[in-house]
Amino acid sequence: MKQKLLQFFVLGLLTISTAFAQNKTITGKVTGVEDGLPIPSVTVKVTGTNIGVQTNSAGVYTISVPASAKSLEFSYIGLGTVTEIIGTRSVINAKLANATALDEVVVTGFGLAQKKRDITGAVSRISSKEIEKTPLVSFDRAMQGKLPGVRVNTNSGIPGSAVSVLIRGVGSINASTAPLYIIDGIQVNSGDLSRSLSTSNVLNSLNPDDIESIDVLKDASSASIYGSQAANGVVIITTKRGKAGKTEFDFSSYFGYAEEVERLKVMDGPQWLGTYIEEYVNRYGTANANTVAIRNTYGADPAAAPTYSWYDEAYRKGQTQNYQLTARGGDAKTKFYISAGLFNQKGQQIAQDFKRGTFKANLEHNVNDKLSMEANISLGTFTQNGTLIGSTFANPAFGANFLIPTQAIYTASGDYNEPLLGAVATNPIKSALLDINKGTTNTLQGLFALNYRIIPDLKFRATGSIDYNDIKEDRFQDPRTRDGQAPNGRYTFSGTQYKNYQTNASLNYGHLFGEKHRVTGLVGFEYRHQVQDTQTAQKTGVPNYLFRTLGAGSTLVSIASTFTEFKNLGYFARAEYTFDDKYIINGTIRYDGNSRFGANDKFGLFGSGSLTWRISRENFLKDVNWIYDMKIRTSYGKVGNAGISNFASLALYSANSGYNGIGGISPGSLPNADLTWEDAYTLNIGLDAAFFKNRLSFTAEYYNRLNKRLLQNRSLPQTSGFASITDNAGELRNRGVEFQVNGDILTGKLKWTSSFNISYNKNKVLNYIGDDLDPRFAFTGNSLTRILSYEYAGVNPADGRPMWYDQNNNITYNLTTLDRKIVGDTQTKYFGGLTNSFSYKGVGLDFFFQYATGFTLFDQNKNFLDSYANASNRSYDVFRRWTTPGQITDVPMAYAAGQYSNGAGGLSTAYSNASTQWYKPGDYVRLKEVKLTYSLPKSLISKAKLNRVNVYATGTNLLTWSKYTGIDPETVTTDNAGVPQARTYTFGFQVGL
Amino acid sequence: MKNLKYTAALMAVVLGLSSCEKTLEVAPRDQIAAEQALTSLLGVNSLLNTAYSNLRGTTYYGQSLKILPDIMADNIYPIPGLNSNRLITNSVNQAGAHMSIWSLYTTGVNQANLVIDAVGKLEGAQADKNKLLGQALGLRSLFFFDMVRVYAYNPKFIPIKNGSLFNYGIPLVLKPTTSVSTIEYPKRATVDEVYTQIEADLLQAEGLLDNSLGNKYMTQNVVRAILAKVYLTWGKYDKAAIYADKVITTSGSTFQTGANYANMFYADNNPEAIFDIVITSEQSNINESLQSYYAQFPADYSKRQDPVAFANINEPKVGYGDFSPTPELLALYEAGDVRRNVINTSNKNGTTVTYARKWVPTKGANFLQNIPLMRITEMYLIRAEGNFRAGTSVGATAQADLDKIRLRAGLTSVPVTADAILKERRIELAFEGDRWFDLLRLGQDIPKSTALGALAPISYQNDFRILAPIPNADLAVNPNLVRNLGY
Repeated sequence: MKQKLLQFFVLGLLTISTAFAQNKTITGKVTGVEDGLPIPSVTVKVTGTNIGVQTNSAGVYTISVPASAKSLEFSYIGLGTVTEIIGTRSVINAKLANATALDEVVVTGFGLAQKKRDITGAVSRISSKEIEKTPLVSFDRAMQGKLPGVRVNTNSGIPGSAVSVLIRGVGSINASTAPLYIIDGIQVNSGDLSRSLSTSNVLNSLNPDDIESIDVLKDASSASIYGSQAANGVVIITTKRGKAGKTEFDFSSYFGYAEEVERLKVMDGPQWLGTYIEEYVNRYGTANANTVAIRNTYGADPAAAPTYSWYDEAYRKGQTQNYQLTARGGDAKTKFYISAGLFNQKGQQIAQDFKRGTFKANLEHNVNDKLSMEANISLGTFTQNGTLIGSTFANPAFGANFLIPTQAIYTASGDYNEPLLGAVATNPIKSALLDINKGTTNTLQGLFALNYRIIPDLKFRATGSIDYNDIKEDRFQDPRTRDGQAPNGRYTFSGTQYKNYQTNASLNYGHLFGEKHRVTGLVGFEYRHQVQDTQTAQKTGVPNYLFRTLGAGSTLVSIASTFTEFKNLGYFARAEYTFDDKYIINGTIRYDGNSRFGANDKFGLFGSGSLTWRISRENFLKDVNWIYDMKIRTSYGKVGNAGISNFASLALYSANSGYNGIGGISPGSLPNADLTWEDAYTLNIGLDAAFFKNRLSFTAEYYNRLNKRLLQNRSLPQTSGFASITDNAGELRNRGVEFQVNGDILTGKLKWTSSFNISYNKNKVLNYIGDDLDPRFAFTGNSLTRILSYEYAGVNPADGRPMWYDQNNNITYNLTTLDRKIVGDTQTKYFGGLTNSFSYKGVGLDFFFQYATGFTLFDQNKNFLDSYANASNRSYDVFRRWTTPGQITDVPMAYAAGQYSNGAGGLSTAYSNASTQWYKPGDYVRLKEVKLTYSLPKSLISKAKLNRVNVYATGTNLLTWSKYTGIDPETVTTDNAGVPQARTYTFGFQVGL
Repeated sequence: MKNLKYTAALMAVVLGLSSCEKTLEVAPRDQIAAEQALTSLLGVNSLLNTAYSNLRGTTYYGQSLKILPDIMADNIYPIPGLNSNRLITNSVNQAGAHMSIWSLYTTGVNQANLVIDAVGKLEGAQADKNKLLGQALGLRSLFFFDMVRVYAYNPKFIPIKNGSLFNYGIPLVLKPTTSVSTIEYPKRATVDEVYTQIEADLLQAEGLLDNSLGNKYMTQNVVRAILAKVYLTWGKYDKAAIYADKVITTSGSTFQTGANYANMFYADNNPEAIFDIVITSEQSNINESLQSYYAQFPADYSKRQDPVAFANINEPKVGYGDFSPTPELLALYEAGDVRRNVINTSNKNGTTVTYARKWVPTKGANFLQNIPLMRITEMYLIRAEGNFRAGTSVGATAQADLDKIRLRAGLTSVPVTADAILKERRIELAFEGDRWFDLLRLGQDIPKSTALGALAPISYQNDFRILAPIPNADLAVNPNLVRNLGY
């Protein structure tokens, strides 16, 4: 089909003939305002025509202009545009300055780049300035708190851990909620693709230092060109390009250390033993055999109990190192950007680290006036060593909270102390240090693009690309550990490969008719085919612990492989008409087919329209000098979500291990020929305004997004043989407001810029199949992420038992599911950030605060520890426990196993159930980042032939103000024995040649 | 000119579309289409294999049905302060903490129904088809029998609730579902209807099967053993004795006596097992295996019967070792009873604890052991009780069978009574998942051990916790389903 397209273009070419009267030649030189150096490859164009040339490597141009030409436009990406009146001049020199914020170019897909001032959709961006100098493992973390409407959760301190990104709330119940990521035109996989590692993030493979900008498309108008993939928003990453001119070398490096941002305060030995004995005395009495047994096991005298800090064993000082060398340069014909990077992080928890190597080459070459090509190559490899997470015994972070402090980590002879007393016998320090939990992710991205200028207004672009991920994971349970003991060592290898082929072709047209009518258009198609292969092999029975490979195992436990694939085919078209730079009307349409869906519903139509009114161009505001720019945008459209499993619509039998060593087969699910996309309908109203020559600007957005036909499991009676079938039935609404304000408060020698953003989102379920018939417990009418739990009522002052409020708000000791209430929501209501940057001469100081409010977290750590249900350590909260009749407190009497009398003749462990005793508000403000930079003066470094020398120091997660009583309010949903985030201190430098 | 361009682009788009459907074709490789899967008896046999695999599931005989009847009644209790907190809600019969096997409908029952349906449609040797059909019927009957015992009252003791008999069994699903449009919303058959269906299916299976498959599969012998238990539970004591006798006639020589008693549990294939559910290493581990719940064993497999290793605090041990026999059960054993040898002391974290060791490491690895569905001893107990209650003496007198059980345990003869048989039954089948069901089949209340504090017995007639809750998901979508009261 591509060939056919080309034929048509050739045909089109032949019909075009250009003849202009040329009667004047103008020459000149273009230089930079800041450094006075010549700028090559600047486009020089006669205003209102298609006549244009580019400057050569010395910044010099020569152009023939018709007699009617009035002015010349000089433009260069990132440097804005300058217009010079020709008059009678034949030599016109121009100076280009760094672009103002409004002239920044925003990338919106398929080779389209628009100036920020002309954007008609809801698009937010951050640039390299905000990504550099921050010790981030992956670029998605850089979006946290900086982009309105984009909620980023970096909940773990494990190096290289997964990040969750939600754009404008939760828009799906069961399908993916992750945005579509596009790196230099390639749709890439995101998220945690690992299978045996505790946590990983495939986007780690892109070095954040290579990124020029991140643009986030939030509304239907901007995202609908990506049709069925775009319902959760689109994140477009553009990497750095070559620059014509002298080749610049840049070396940068930073070093840092990290410590956990907060620890759970747990008891020491005497405190714990006193409490634990009290639990038994309270329940059984002093003389009871159970109490005696506890004293025999753990010691009778609390005061004599030793204390060992499992925290100190489980944590250490983390370290980070980063090295990056880049070269960029080129001439009018060829430009290049090449970089290599090395990153190494030792986690703050033992046995966790992360190493990454990256290589990037971006090349551009102009074959002739009409044909140019691009090649982008990205290689990345990263290796993670980790430990188990969550409430797994072998997790050191779990053990640090949980383990009884009277137990030594090591025996007198220096061995690991094991088995431990209490609920957990496993010594997690031993497991962490002896076991292997390792994963290596190798990624390759390559893109080849051809651009052909058929006529000056009509460009053709075709690309072909590969995105390849290969993940190798090794897990070894050492035979010396408790988990590895029985099988005498267990080695598991998992291999995963994603092959993602893409091609697209598009035609891009733009023309200014007369002085006032600007028309642009885009048509094209896109094809994507992704294949995923996995292999898993497990062996047990190694000769001894020194043999730590798959090959050393003597018994083959399992060996398995899987294959899955999907294909997506899309056609798209976009047209935009602008009248007098005042009214912009824009329409997009996309027709998509995807192999994932049922035979009856494989194709879908998506699209959007938008209207933009630049009020500041109206006559009544033209003369209001303090208004620099002001426009109102409205858009409405439909996009889709195809984020479901690849063969979800098919009825398939799969193989299993069967019985008695002979394999079996079993049916998967019922066929579903009607399975199709989820739809998202978004209305967006935005206002962009800039005042005082853009010193103060703000953007406000309102959106109303309706997600329909959401995939849900419709419960079937299990008697049918199937528990459920996937059905397009759910409906959700996300409504929200976003606001961002930027100000250049001081612009003199002391510069001060400030930026603040706040986002509000409200989620509401409109239709939910299988909803609870009781409206109190139903999703419909509530938020999808609302928390249904029990309301804790504190402690009965008379007898120390925990109490709850029942459905009628009376005190109860015996909970039933009817007593549940909505006690909060896991999603934030308001979030955002505040950035302040000061600079004076070469010194810069940045503060970045990030905040979120209106959400609830489950403090699972304390639930585990303090509910008396486990033979574990207790947190400091238990100091507040009820001990004397009449005492008012929220922590009930110490009571063995937490099995209080339920007042109905039975025992109840309800205190360990989730309730508002453990659900706590998560609201926080965090001083996320402080950055001090110093650029050495030019006069000093130029003697050393250096272009630039910067040194800087950065601190992250320095201060937190929070209502949350658990370890870290940046947790997602529950705080379960995780590695807390790190507080980091980094020192770095950058030398440019 | 512009028109031409747009036309060209449009035409290109249209041309591209014509081949779209084909472009989007994908081919799963690990799985096969439903319509191909059951086109041969080989495929049907593979599906039958999966039906068998349900038996070892952790919510079924792989764990729950072999341990919860002892925990939820009064045979074992969690050792205070030294347990991993697992299954403790079951030990105090917290509402909802029960056996949960409703999902057998989506697995075993559906798979068995698919086999039964497919065998009827396929060509092939009649002998091969009979074998497949008989096994599928036998498995389905076992699933139904266990479900009706968990979710419904005993047919002889149906209490009156809200003025009428609560005579609700389970839905009898006898056909597979192949598409959404053919889904049915069945009601609960009466308890007697369920037993009648089970009886008919087992009798049919008995006629279709022989014993050539050995004791790891559903054979004629296994079908008869299940029938004996079904009849005993149903109160048809004469038939219970007849079928128990048939089983004893076929496999009587496997009865273990004297010192061999405790050792038989350490054999890779328990010699008394009528049906030994095969556990392969893939699903035997610390969290799932019965061994782990019942005792901590030395990590070193060779010390699995070494009392010194058990007593040694420094010996590396594996498993949770959460549960101990209750004082009430221990008090039942008479002096010299060889069956007491499966109960031993051990050192757990410095404390001496009492462990039952019927669930032990075999086949050279910890946590790995086949699970006998029933042992031959139970057939003697059923024949004794059946004959005693029916006043018959099929195969042997009740007194003779009772003596046989007691003498092999190193005890002396006592006069046969119902209580004497039930006492032997409790001791003989302790820790094997029988106690709860044995009390319920006689309409008796569930006593609770004093080891748990003062807990009232669970009244058969009045306490809703006798029955397991039917999953809410099913109640919500199937209006014909009646909820078990109290949930």
